[in-house]
Amino acid sequence: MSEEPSDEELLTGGGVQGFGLLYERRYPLIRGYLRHRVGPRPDLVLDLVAETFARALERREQFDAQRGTAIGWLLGIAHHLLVDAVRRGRVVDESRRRLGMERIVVQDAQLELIERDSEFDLQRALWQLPAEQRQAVEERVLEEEPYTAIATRIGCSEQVVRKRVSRGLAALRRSIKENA
Amino acid sequence: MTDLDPYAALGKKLIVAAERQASNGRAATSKRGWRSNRVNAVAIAAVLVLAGGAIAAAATGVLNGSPVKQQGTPSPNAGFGVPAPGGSLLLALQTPDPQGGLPWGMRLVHTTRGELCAQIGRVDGDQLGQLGIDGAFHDDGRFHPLAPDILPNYSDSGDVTCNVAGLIRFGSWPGGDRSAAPSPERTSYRPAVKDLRLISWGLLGPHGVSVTYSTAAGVRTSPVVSGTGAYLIVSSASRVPSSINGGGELLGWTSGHEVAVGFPPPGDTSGAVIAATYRFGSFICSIGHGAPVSTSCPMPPRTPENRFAPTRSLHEPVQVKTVPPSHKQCDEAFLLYPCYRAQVQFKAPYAVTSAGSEYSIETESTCHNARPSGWSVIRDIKQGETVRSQSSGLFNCISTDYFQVNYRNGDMGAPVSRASHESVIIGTGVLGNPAEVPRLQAQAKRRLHVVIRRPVHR
Repeated sequence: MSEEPSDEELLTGGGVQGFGLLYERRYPLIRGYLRHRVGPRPDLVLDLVAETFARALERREQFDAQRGTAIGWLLGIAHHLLVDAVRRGRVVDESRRRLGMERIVVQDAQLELIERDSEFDLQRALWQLPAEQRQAVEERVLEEEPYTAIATRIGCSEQVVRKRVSRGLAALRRSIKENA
Repeated sequence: MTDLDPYAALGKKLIVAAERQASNGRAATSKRGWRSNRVNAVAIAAVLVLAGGAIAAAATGVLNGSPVKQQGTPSPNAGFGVPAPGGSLLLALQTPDPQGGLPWGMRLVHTTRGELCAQIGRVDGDQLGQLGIDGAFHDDGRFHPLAPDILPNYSDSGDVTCNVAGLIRFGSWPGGDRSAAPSPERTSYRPAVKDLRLISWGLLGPHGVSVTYSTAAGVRTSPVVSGTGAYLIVSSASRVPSSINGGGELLGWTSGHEVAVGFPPPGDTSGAVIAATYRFGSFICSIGHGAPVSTSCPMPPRTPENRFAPTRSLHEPVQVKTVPPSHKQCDEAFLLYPCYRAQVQFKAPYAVTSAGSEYSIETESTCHNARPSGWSVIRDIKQGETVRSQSSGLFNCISTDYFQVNYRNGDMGAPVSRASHESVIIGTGVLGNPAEVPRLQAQAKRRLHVVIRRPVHR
């Protein structure tokens, strides 16, 4: 049996279907990350998730697997969009406009449903990780600390930090699948 | 996902968009992709004409546009300060662009707060500026001069980087726009890789001799400008950087015949420079890998960490209280009302007279969401002055929040420091349950082992 393609393979070589699979696989984590930061604002979270993946679709040729993981790249986009949204007071929709994607009109009933579905708590999943993996994921992926700074702070090699981040993200992914 | 689930609808829309994109034969749409193809073609043609016009301006200097505007209201006593009178110097150093047109150049700007800013741009005659192409200045194709007496009010956007004067610096701006304009206002637009630049620049200091760097044609070594040790290398980017942020720089210092800088290891691709050569009297040495001189420059002993991250506390009183922002401000920060700012008050035991030192507030919180984050008081402060400073960020959870006020010396361990004192903890203040403080103090201690101006290479 063939092995499941990695996020990186789906993003860079998976074509249209690959991107669709990547979205299905990863949107819960991106949604969880944004919900964690934004709070119970499902309409806002949906808007940010939509622009995050639109931007990823638009720029997927710019992704470089040698510089990091696909999920880290997606979280980076989400983070920057969130910061930009806070600064502007609105979520930009430029990538969606360029891609010709119409805004999704959400009814109140749908909002309630997606808020219930979003109850997966990234923080809870993080706390289920071993302490050293949790720290590495929090500092590298969520707080965007350089690997070198993390390594210096906790007194280990950069390679060890990279391994912890990689293992932590893999464990988070499993956790999300189990909670989906 | 169900049909009722908007995320399922979003997935379908993304698939349709990806199919449309694939049928257009490319993964990356142009910045005007939402317009009709007809309009798009006209727009692209117009941009090409304008870009050509800008390149022509290199020869004629005719197409001058409006000067680059000052952003914000800079203060001579806060932030970077403002350019000191007579403190701006456009270096004679000029580097061609891979696609021709106006060359690239560098200006050094000394500020009223002791910062030295390196400004990178395109050069027309004796002016440094930016081009109206690739989305900058509405694609007007003109040259927009940067007056010597203005600085943007932010740093690390690539085109200008400020740091304490006297340090040696290795900067890189990977994926810089060929317009030389910074990208924050245009975060949605990324041009083709061929139109991006890998810009490596630096200041080796008075002992600098040359830099060795990688090019598509192999490794090369070029002399640096005498006195400042300045260099500027511009090449086509080989890829778009994964980070949306601008560039970064490595900082260090020289003393005697020692060079203190954490140079990137072999294989690091964030900048073109792989080695630098120094001369101390008759002693010639290098740092990095691949320089013509293989003798390594001695490194000074490791700087004690408390030089940057304080461990000793003065136990001075620190008062903390919450300040409620308006409903609108909470809403704009995507926080439920009520939300808060923290206001910290303390008496400054040391003066801050330049950007070489500052008071900073580190925070730790038991909140898991929307917790307060640390900030710095970046302005001149008199000794004995009562400082009141509010957090820039908002938060909507008050459980136990711990605030540690530090005086931080940003001299990077250099032997000559203009800061009046070593880094030290001034004192701490708490909102909430004091019993939580020891655990939060331990968290804060761990975080404080990051230097105040850490290298930004990622």
